[in-house]
Amino acid sequence: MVTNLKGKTAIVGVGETDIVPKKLNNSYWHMSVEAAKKAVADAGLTAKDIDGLIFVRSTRTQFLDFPSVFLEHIGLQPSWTDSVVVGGMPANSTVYKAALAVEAGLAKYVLIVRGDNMISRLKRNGMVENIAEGVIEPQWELPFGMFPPAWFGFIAHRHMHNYGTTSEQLAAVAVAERKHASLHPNAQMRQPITIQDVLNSKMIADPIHLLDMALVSDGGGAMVVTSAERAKDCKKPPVYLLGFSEVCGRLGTVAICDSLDDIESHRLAAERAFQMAEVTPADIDVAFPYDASTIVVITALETMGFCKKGEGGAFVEGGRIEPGGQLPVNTHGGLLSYAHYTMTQSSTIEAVRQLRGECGERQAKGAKLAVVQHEGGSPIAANCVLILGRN
Amino acid sequence: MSNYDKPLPYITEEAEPFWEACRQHKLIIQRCKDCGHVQFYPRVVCTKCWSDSLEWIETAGKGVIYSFTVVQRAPSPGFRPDVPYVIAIIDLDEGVRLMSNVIRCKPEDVRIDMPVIVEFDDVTEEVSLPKFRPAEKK
Repeated sequence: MVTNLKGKTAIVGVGETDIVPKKLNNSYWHMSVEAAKKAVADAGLTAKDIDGLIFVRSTRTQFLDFPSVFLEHIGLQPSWTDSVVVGGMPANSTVYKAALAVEAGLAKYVLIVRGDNMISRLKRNGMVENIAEGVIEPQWELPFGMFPPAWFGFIAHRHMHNYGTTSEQLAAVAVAERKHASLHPNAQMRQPITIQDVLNSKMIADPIHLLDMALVSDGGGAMVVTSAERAKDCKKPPVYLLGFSEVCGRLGTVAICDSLDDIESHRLAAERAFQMAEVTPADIDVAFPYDASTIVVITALETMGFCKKGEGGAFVEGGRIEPGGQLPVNTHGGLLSYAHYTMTQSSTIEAVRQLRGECGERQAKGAKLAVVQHEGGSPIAANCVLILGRN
Repeated sequence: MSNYDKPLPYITEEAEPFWEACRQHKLIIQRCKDCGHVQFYPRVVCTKCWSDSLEWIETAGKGVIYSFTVVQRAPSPGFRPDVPYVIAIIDLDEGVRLMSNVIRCKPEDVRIDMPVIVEFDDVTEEVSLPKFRPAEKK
């Protein structure tokens, strides 16, 4: 049992580059280095303090991006280094791995870095093709014209069939996240949208429209993790790691899933993280479910226990997940409206900022407890859930 | 068919008999001789009991659609002429799930639970892909 690690470590620094989708000549390394510098400064630390590194490699570069190369770019020599590639969930996965390293005494201050220039390097068409060839199972799925939006099409059709979920309910997620993004000065897409705008956007993989899908962006995000003890001496209020769990399921090949909209590994990860933190969904002030597509926000809210199975569609309606709602969801705008540069790095960073009370107009009032849920592991088999708190 | 410009299956060693059967227009799956478990895709051991004693059985090629999507935006240039096309997850009567395309019907007519039957698309001299068309109701 990992319960004795509850509250033993904290995130003490976060940093992000500007999200710059329109300027299309961003350097891959610039994104990581700038984010790293900001996160270290945010913690009130200097480069000399950093003695641990987790570098999240891009799954889509043609060139070397091993941690060793990143270390050359920033001139560091940490005592402990790790590299993680886990599809959509590197942010959460790295936070608890950094915490384990700190607790084991391998490092005092672990820097977590991920940056990418997907849109500059690949452009939109190149990105779609690259991601299909990079993450779709090559023997049983890719030959049939499979690509990521189709996963979400399968899940959505199944959810609609089982529970009567509607395209309007999927769209409500996109509308809510855009409302949040409109309050974030760094968000890629800030123009408010309506349910009808989502339904009128180009159909990609029925019933998934363009506005039901994540953006493609450039950017970088970084965090610093240390012990709760050392965290007290950092510049900003610590955000404690109260619960975590990562579970990988049998779903390397989507086609052989047991169930598309009730995935066992996802349920287990959520249960264990809440158990470790000794809290329930009712205690959560602000939530960050994985949102590569609108449908998985609905299924994640169900899986984590915010509502019953099949009730996620109704749950996201009526402003409940919007700014000022009962459970604000992805208050930066998520992958749908904020940015999709480092997969999910920005949602963990936003959770830290919410719990520090730094979010200005988009601040969830009195936010003390957040859940961050990420899916990944090619394609969506694995699930990593963090419970973060101010106390 | 040397001008086939879509991705061909990356064939793994344990799946070679499956693709060889496809060339002969047969859809085969593995069955465990020890516990009777059937599985697709082909694997090294029975995933239920870890037995190495696996045999191939020929399926009737019939099943129903578990879920599907209609792709309106091609992932790569090779698929552009096919748009809109249907990708489906199909439950075979023998008790396994697989992914394929549903062909020979209008995409808007495809439904969950719709009965389908296999037919083979000889895309190159070496590779035949199992695809599915609507079947008569049982």
